[in-house]
Amino acid sequence: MEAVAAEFAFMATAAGKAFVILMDPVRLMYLAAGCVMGLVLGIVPGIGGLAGTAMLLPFTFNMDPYTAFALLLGLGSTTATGDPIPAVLFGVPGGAASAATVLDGFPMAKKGEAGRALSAAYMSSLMGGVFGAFLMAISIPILRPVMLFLGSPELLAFSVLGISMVAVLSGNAPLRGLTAGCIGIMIAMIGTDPQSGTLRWTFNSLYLWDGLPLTPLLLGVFALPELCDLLIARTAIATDTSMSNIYKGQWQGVKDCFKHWWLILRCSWIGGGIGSIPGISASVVDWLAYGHALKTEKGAAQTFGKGDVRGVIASESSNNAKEGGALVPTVAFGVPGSATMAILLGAFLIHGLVPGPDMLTKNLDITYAMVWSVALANILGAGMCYAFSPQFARLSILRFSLILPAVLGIVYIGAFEATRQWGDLYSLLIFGLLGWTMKQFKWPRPPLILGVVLGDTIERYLFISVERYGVSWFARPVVAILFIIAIIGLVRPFLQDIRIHGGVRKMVTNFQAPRFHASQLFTIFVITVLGAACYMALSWDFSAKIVPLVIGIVALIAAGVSLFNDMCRKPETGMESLIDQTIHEVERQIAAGERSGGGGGGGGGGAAAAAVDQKIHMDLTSETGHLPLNVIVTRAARFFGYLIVFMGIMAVIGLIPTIGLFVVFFMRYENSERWPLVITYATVLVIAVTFVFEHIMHIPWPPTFLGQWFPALKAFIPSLA
Amino acid sequence: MIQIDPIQFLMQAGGLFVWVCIVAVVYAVVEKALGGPAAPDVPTKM
Repeated sequence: MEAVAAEFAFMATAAGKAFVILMDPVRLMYLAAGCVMGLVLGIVPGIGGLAGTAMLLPFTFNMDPYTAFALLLGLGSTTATGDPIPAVLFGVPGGAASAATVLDGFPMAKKGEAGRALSAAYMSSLMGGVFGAFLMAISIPILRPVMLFLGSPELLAFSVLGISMVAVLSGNAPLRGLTAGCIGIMIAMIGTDPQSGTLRWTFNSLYLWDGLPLTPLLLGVFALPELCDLLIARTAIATDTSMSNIYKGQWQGVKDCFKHWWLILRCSWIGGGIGSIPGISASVVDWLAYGHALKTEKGAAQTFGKGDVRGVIASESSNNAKEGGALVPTVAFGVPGSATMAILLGAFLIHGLVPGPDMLTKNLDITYAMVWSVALANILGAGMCYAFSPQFARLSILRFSLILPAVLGIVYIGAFEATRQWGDLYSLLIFGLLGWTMKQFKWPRPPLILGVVLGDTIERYLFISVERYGVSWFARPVVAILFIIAIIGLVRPFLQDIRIHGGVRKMVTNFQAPRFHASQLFTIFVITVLGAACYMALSWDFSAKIVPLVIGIVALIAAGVSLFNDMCRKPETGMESLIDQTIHEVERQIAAGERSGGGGGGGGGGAAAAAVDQKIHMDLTSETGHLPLNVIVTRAARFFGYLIVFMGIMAVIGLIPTIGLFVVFFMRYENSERWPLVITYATVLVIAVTFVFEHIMHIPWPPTFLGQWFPALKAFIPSLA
Repeated sequence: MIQIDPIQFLMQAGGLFVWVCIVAVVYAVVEKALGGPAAPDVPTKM
């Protein structure tokens, strides 16, 4: 009893200390800044929280962990709060997590109840978000005693389990997920091997000796593809919905939330619980909660999809609760619950923190600071939305020609922060191209990032386990159980396949003559690169090559089988995962409701049907499917052409003057913007970048030719180094 | 502690404004010489 009291006192002290630390005005300011950025990025079309977190990460290098996580979690926690604004007003979700909100939010706006729908969305987001933080807070005392018994072998097994689950669950193509995860681990092994000093895949480049830095890779894989698709799709949201009723019915929305508190609690639990399972991304959480509400709420089958506030509440409470849930495995086991959490795990490593037992003992106050950050960010975010709804709504109709140049400038600055070498910018470009291709061909990107983040840890824990326990580490009960779960996870899709085909014999005979498709070229490219990487590894020391070779061979097998399936397997139907089944159930019930209600009312069933394809692939997909291939390729080539020319000019005159030049050219050439707007926007942007990055953050800039030739100019031209 | 030299910042801001104007004038001249602004590349519907 005394031990429990002492444990409780220790945790209460840590939670109190964390609260006091977070209440520092500067940290609160960063938390609020993170919230504003989260809301803006959630609302602005094309850029999501994932790209936003990747963009912010490099600017936290010089902060203490409390401030850094306040900023990052402020952003991560509020992107889902701003999402319902475009979803309700324009019928276009700001992010994948609010896709289900459209079904009832948009019909409510059409009925003149936009204010009520938005208010219910903000309040349910707030309640869901705080519930998620609470869930994390109560998980800590439960996990703490367990964590104290975990050693390197168990942490290794958790990492392997995390990657295998993300690989298998993060897409309708588990083999591609597995390949991507293995490639990520191999990327993490680039550089000097800590055991033998062997240089692994460094290609005689000094830049790669310390390994490939995480930030350019993250920005390349998650930010550049979104920008490229923004240029390709050029999506513009029609503004035919009136914003005049945006404040009307707000109080009613708040009352709705308190009336349906039990629904909020259940959906928050779904969000938090599902969020803590690695691999199930944000884009399905809202559908699962919506499906649950549809099944359990009275009369929902008749009213959902036609403007029922309970649909909005279910979806929004769940997607904000997932953040707190996803933090639990990230902090406790170093296994991120989502791609955003994988980036956050990168932040842990950058700030010298090791996820796992340390976070629940030595660094418990940092963990509690995260809990407070999530809770406060949700309250702040909802408050800001109540106060500034019309202003935020205008952001969602911003044109790509205004968004892209500003974001691209920040991406370049962020990427260069990694090691402050030109190599960072080359990495950005290469991984941008890789990320966009993966997104285009529906290769899941989260396993790749997870592999990169966990690759080092896996190898380190493996060597420690072998050194400390010999072969017996494999027989430790927790390790054995976790490995069995990982193996079941990897084998399950094949078992499912066998069941669908009615036996092994029918499955292996269900082939056709090979059919070729452009997307297979990418798989062939991946196989070639993997083959070359494995071949290079053959000449290394045994201790340096064993892990990369095993991982490389697994990746080769997975990619090979995936290619064979693509070419030779007959198209199959009926393979439904639990999530697919839920989405289909939502679709069926809405369709049934529409029939019994006499049709009309927003076409929720159609919207759900259109969303089904997207949900099955649990990464953001390119919304460029309506465009012909030649248009996609031409515009993508133009985008990457811009990046190369941008870098070329930057090498001569520096980054800030290049941004000015690029903005003028881009706005005028790509969208024929009016000259007064072009000049005002370009001037304000370059001055703002100079003020923030040169004078406040004192960012070191990439060396330039002009700066080397005429050093005196450095005093006058910002960013000239 | 944030320390900003206001004179240097104002000089840089003025310089950047002039730079943007120069770029805009050069672009406008080239654009006119090539026969007016490029037609916007709008999304293509299938």
